[in-house]
Amino acid sequence: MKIPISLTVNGDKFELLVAPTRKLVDVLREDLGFTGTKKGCGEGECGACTVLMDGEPVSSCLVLAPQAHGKTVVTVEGLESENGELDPVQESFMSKGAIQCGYCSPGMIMTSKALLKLNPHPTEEEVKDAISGNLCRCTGYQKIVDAVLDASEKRGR
Amino acid sequence: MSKVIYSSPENLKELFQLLEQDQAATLWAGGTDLTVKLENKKIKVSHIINLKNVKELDFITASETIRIGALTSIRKLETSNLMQTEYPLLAQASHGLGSWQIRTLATFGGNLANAAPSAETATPILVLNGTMIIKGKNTERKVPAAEFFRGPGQTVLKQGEVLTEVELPKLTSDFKSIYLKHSLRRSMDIALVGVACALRLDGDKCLEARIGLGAVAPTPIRVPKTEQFLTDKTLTTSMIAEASRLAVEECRPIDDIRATASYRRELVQVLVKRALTSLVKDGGSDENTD
Repeated sequence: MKIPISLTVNGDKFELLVAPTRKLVDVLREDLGFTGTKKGCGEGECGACTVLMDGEPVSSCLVLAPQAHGKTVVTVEGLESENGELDPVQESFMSKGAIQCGYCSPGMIMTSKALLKLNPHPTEEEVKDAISGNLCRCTGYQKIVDAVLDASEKRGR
Repeated sequence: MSKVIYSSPENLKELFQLLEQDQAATLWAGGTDLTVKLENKKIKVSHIINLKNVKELDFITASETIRIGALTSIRKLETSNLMQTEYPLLAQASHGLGSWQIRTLATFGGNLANAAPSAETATPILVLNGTMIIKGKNTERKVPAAEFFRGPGQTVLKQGEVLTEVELPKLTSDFKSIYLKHSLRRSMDIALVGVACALRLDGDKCLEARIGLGAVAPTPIRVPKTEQFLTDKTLTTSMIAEASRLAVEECRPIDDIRATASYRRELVQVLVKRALTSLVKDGGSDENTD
């Protein structure tokens, strides 16, 4: 049994048929080609697959594709503006050297986006708390925290 | 080709019809536990009933009592002003569950019905003397939280029944509460020990004590002897130390992959002491006082 679903990803509406146990992350990556979202552990531990669903960060590997029916999803590809400008958070990740292998970056960036929307000027401790569900195996945490704080300062200007 | 059926009822009536038609169906809320079990082939599913569209179970209301619908997300519990002011221990416990990404998805009812001995929201519910509202197609029963949990993953829920809400009596304003947890990683780690504590205080005199422990018995538990010991006592350092030793005697931890039983006993002593001390000192901060 396949289920018809429709969802909005990065502003575009998609309609497709999915198996009930298919995960949102696989739909995004394999069916729709949004490979910016990474799949790490596949069981919600690492945060690499973090996307925004109706504005809130979720582990897309834990969302059954049919449960995303009617939802609005934003992946890292959705942060870039139409004329190709990167989001301030992405800029800060680059300028602060918060990227090593890059695998955790899309998830880190999406969680950071959610944080800054909710709390435009977080403290260092609040940043650490927000991204505590995102693992970085290169252990670039300090630079990641620096980047989020940098993006937050840019907003203030 | 997948043979799994998927249903997404929009209200309780539709849900109970589906449950009656297919007794083997799996109730699916946030899915943060079930998806992992499915991925690791620890469960088999033939029919998934998505609960997330049963919007009538997503609510927090306050009148004489506070009622929380089973489909309320953990994130909502964590950030609700009402929870933060009425039940700091429940807001803190919710904050300690999983990660932000998990809390967005995970539900209150799912955390309770999943019945892990370490379940974050379970010990606060025990301490708050909550009542579980359980509905079937034509039935409704109320079960005290203390009787809801039967063992790891086991509750009193019967075939065809659903936990629909939890009702919590308000605490009088002289209560202070706190939830502390120890785990190896800040996020995404199951508690080695969780402590939920509410004290009714008159200065540093304890008028009533309620302490719940998680991950140290087959179910979340209260420690009645320790609570009784604290009642009508002035909470001096030595009294608190004695109470935390008593709490250790009342728990029944096991060795497992995360920690040994003896380490868990040590943690109970430290966390109970820390919880009591911080409540007496300043009413609910989780400062390290050990």
